This record gives sequence, structure tokens and C-alpha cells, in this order.
Amino acid sequence: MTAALRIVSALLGFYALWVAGMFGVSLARAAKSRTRKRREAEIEPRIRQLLIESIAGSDNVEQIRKLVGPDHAAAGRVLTEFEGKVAGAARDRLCEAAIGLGLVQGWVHDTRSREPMERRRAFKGLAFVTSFEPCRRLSGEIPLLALDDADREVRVAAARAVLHSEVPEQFERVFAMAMENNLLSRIRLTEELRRRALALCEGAIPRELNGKDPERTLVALQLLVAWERALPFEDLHRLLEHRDARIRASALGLAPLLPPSADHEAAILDSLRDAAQPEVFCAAAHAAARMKLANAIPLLARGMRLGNAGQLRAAAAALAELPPMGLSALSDLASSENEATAAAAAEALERFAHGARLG
Amino acid sequence: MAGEPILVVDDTPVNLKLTRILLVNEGYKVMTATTAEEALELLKSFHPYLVLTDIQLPGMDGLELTRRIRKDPNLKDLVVVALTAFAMKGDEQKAIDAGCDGYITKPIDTRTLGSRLREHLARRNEAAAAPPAGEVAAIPEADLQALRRVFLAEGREKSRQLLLDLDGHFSANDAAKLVHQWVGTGGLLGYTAISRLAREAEAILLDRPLDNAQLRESLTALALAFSSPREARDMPIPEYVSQAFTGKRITAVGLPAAEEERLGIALERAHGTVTFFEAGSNPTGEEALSADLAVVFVAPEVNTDAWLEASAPVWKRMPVVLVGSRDHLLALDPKVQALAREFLMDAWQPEEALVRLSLAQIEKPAGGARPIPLSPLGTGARARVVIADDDPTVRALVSTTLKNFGFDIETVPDGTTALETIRRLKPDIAVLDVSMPGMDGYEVLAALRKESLPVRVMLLTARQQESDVIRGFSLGADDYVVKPFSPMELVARLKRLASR
Repeated sequence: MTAALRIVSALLGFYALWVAGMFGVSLARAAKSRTRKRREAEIEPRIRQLLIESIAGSDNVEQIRKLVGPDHAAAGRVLTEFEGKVAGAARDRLCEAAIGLGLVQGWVHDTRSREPMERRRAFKGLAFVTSFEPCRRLSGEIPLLALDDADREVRVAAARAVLHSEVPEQFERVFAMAMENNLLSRIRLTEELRRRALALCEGAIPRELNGKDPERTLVALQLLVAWERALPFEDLHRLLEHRDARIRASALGLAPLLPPSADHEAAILDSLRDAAQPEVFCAAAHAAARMKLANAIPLLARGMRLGNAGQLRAAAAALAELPPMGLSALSDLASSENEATAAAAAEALERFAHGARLG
Repeated sequence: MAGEPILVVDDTPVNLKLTRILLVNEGYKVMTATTAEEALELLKSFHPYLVLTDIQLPGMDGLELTRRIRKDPNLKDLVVVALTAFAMKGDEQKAIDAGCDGYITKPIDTRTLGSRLREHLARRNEAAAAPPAGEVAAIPEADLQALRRVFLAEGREKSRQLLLDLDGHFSANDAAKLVHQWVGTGGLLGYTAISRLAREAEAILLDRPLDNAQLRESLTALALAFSSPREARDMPIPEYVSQAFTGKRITAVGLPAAEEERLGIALERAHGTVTFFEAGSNPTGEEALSADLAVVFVAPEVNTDAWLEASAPVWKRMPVVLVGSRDHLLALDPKVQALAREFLMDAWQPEEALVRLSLAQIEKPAGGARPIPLSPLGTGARARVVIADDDPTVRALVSTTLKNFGFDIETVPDGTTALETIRRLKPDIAVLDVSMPGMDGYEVLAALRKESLPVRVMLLTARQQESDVIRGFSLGADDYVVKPFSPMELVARLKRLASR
């Protein structure tokens, strides 16, 4: 019994020691983490300022290197903060600094890490610096290969890096990747893809729009509409008459961004005549307003009398964009016996007046 | 007397080809070998007057080749000249010890190679005539360009491969051999920066234990140099610049080591002679004052104050160019600013330095004063700018950039403070972000226009939809810049706004 008690006491003692040890380790870790964060908070503004001075022309890579010491993570973090903020030679200077600090080489190395967070950081860094040709050369094919990575964040960052290249085939791969990914990924790639729109209009875009899968066509249309830029693409008529109302509506959103075409105008007017599809009508009203189609005014006025609440608002907003005849139509409709029609027309006129006052 | 047969031994094909072209154009009969063994084999049937051999060769090295030549009674009259690299300390002495008649240090100076070999041959023949001084070996331009293209393409690929290999199987010795080739070839083809970087990399590669971090850095610099070779000697120097410096002496005071090197290389190309003086040196010393031009570095931590006094004799004796960051130059006494003939600011390029230094010599002081253009408004007063952005990086970036260009800056983190600050300071220009906490940029702009405050407004925003831009202008913005932006473009636009 005494022996058993001793064993139990010893076990309890060991357990207590183990618990105390673990507690100590976690305390030490927490302290280390706090120290690191404190140091980062202290040096990051200084790194930022040094990088800014480097943009202005100072050669202070050595100073930054001394400041960050062996841990380059802080420098990498501050450097990638400039994403979306600087362009041109300033960005090139930052990329040069990244090479000088050994960040690019470190990121290239970390792309092979098994730690998803490390890989994400690495690709985020590469996505920033690959706008600079020497950095593209250092990163080689790594971003292209990562387009099939299992991690979505990595895929998006890799796609942004690839879009800095000058190879149209690679843009098409990213475009295809964006089509297969979710909406969020597509939104995040919108701006970078937009810059490659002309190259994509050569092959990838017509291919997707003329494909047989309506879901893919729809996704492609949504991407193009989000770019909000003129596109040298003419063959939209088929989609403006597509049997799928969602595709028709999206194609109507794209029509004002394409070169003017009698076919497109006719399709917009047809869509305004068909008030049975509110979604399509609203898109057509918006397109008519952007394309300043004066011959759409009677159909818009008709829509204000016959449509639902959404159609009323869309038609009224479109008429307000088509002065002077559109405004004149709105004035007539503001005194309509149909209360909803009169209210929508009055509201549109008020918005127009407010805009004019601000202008 | 040209026409003598010469054997060149080098394991680098580009080196070999270029040296051959150089010597053939000088009139020599040239045979080439890529290894010492091949050279010995050739020497059995070909009897040159001179052997020019690289010391580092695969298999038997150049020193052993020399020893064997010296042992062979049939070859003992040969002149042997070794090619050595600075990175290999003691190579020169080893070459002499092995029996070489002389050595030429890599990178080979293409302008003097012919004459140096003639000197060796003259000693042998005692009949050779020295070529005219300063004669430059003429290489057919097409050949030279082709060699340069090959060199850069191979260098790009191989330096990148070395960097990749660093993480895997890496042989420092093989890498050192490869880099060693670049030392010579780079210099020979006029890429002195590549040659210098290769020499540094070679020294690191030969050092033990190998410092991986330093090596990575050095190889990266080398890879970069191959990618974008900004080569001083490769760029033709305009005739008027060359004329401005030929035979001229330049006094440079207090320059940091890196700037000294850059200036030295640049002036060497233009045939100028530069003497560097320490920061605290005597500004009245005859040696310093006997130059044709002075370049003085300006920084608070550098003691060049005695040179920068308006009463210093240097100003009366020669044109003076001031070098330093814009802030430091702006902080100088305006009298001194006015006395300076030219300024080199921030990260100046060698080409820019040459042009500015030559202009400083040519230009006569018309009316003396030509101060730094402090005001973007051109009225003597600095333009005051309020920058409103919630992003500290953008605030710091814009403010530093604009300060460098002589603007007075006030930064605020939100729209409400921006409006208050603009009302209080009445600046010339307001740079507003659109998305800010409190009032957004549009609201601030609308409020400013409503109050008819006389301030020019630039919107600086990531919003780039047509509707956003139109809204900005319709609310009364004077300009609209989309992020990401180029700081230089921003400055240009602000200057235009300020001068309206």
C-alpha cells in the first residue's frame, strides 16, 4: 500500500512538473511573441520611412538591413503595404530594394514551404515585386506553377504575379483560372485582368463567350462588365438574344462598353419592349441611358407605366440621363395618375436637380 | 612591329574570342587554346613570340604551363604573360615565380592591351616600335555587340541558376570558376560593374567558411547587373563631355566611399583626373585649390563646413559642384547655394554627373546667383499642401516626396480634420483621399466649394470607375489621380496646379 502510494505520489509529482513546465514554455513563448511584436511595432514605421526615402532616391538598403537584422519578415510586410499605392519608377525602386534586402530570394525559397501561411506571404510578396523585370526573372516559373496550388490565397497571389508577365498565353491561363474560381477570387483579380483586357480579347474572351456552357458564359460576362472599360469585341448580338435571361441581362450590361452597333441598339430596344423580364428590362434601361439612345425614350416611358417598382426606378433613372427629351417625359410622368409612376418620376427629377446643383 | 605570332590560352570562349579579335586587329597572328594541355600540344608545331595565358585553367593551370615552357629548351625564348585577377591574392607574385615575363590584371583594358603586349615583345626584339599613346584597339562593332549579347544572355541564365542552386546542390569551387570568367570577360567587354561584382562574388566564394547570406546577396547583385547592365564604359561619352574633362583635375571633398567610386569611374571614362580629399581636409591647401573643378559633399554628419563657407577660397578659384540629398542642399546658406555652379542630388547617375560637371566648367557665372528652385510656384514662396489620407503609408510617401520638391506639407488622417486644417491654414493645394473616416473626400470637396475657399483640390484615390471620376470633377476637383500612383507624376501634376 505504501509502495503504491509512493508511485501515485511520484506520478502526481511528475504530472505537476509537466504542467508547470508547459506553463513555463507557454509563458516564455508569449513573452517572446510580445517582444517580437513590440520590436516590430517599433521598427516598422522606421522601415516604412526608409523605404519611402529609397523611393525618393536615397540608397539606404544597407540601413534597412541593419535595422531589420536577420529577421526580414518585418521588411517584407512593410514593403508589401505599398501594393496598390505606388506605381512606375517608385515601385521599381521598391522592388530593387526587395532584391537588395534579399526578400525576393527569401520569398522564392518560401514558396516551397509546407506552411500555408508562409507560402501565402511568399506569393503575396512575389505578386508585388514581379512587376519589376529582374524580380520576374528571379521568381522564374514559380508563380505560373502555383496557379494550380491547393490554397486559394496562393492561387490568387500567383495569378497576380503571372499577370505582370508579358506573355499573352499566361494571361489566358490566369483568365481560365479566374473563371474556375469563386466570385471573391474573381473580384480580387478584376483589376489585374482588366489591364490585360486587350490581349485577352484576342482569344480567351471570345472563346469563353461563344462556349456552350451558359454558366461559364455568364461568369465571363460578369467579369467583363466588372472591368468597366471599352473592349474591342463586337460579337455580342448572339448573347443579347440568348434564351437565358441572366445572360441577356449581363450582355446588356456589357453592350455600352463595346463599339456602337445597330444590332446592339436593336437588341436593347427589343429588351425594353419585353417588360415581362424585369431583370432584362432594368439592364436594357441602364444600357440605353449609357449609350444615350434617344429612341429608347418612348419605351422607357412605357416601362414606367407598366413595370414593377424596380423597372419604374430603372426607367426613371435612365430617362433622367437622356436630357432634354427624357426629362420632358419625366415631367409628364410626374403628373401621372398612377401614384407609383408619378413618385418615381418626381424622385428622378429631384435627383437630377440635386446633381445639377452640385455640378 | 606587329605581325608577331601570339598564342592566347583561356578557358572562357568569349574571352578568347575577344582577345583574338583585339590582337588580330592590332596585326598579330593569333592562335588560341582553351587548356594548358592543348597549348603545349600546339607549341610543338607553332612557335609564337608571346604566350598570353590565364592563370586559372581547367586541369593544368597557367602557372604549370609557364613552368613547362621554361623547362623546354625549344621554348625558352618565348615571352609568357599571365592574366591574373585581383580576387586571387598573390597571383601576380606566383606568376613571376613560375617564370612569367609579366602579368596583365583582369579585367583587360582593351585600350592598352596591344601596347602592353608590344612592350613585352619590344623587350624581346628590342626593335618593336611603341604605338602612339592612348591608342584604342578597334574591334569590329558587330563582333563586339554579338559577344556582348552572348555574354549577357549566358550570364543572366547562369547567375540565376547559381542562385537557385544555392538552395540545393551547390559547388562553391565550380561557382568560383564560373564567376572568375565573368571577371575577365565583363571587363573585356566593357561591363566594369559586372566585372567588379563578379570579383566580389569570387572573393566570397573562395572564402571559408562560406558565408551563404553574403553570397546570396552578391550573386543577386550580379544577376541584376546581368539583367540590366548599366554599364558606364559601354555608354558612349559625348564628345563635348570628353573635351571638358580631358587633362582636367577635379578636387572631390568628403564624398562617401560609394559615391567616390562612382564619381571616380565616371571621370576616368571621361579622361579626367580626380583627387579625393577627406571631409576635414584643409580648404586652403594648394593641392586642393590647384584643380579645375571642385566637388563638395554636403551632409550634416560630414565635416565639409570649412569648404562650404561663402568666404572659402575655393569659390573664387574654381567652379564648385555640391553633392548631397535635396534636403541637405536646401538647408544650406542661400549665399552658398547661389555660389555653387551645379548640384548633384540624391541618387545621381554617372552620366548625369558627367554632364553636370562639364556644364559647371563651361558655364560662366552670369550674375552669380542661381539658387535651387525652392518654390514650385516660382514666386519665392513655397506652395503649401494639405494631404488628407487615412493610410499612414500614403501620407508618409506623399509628404516625403513633396517635401523633396520644395512643398510645405501638412498631413491629416481624416476628412473632418482635413476640412478644419484647410480652413485654418488656407493652403495652396489640398490632396484628398476619397475613402476616409468621418467625412469622405467628396464631402470635404463639396464643403470647400460651398465655402468658396480658394484652394486647388486634387483627389488621390483608388476609385477609378468613370462615375467616381465624373463625380469628383463635377464637385469641383482640379485634378484626379488614381492609386496606385507614381510619386513623380503626382509632383508634376501638383506643380502644374501650383503654377496656375
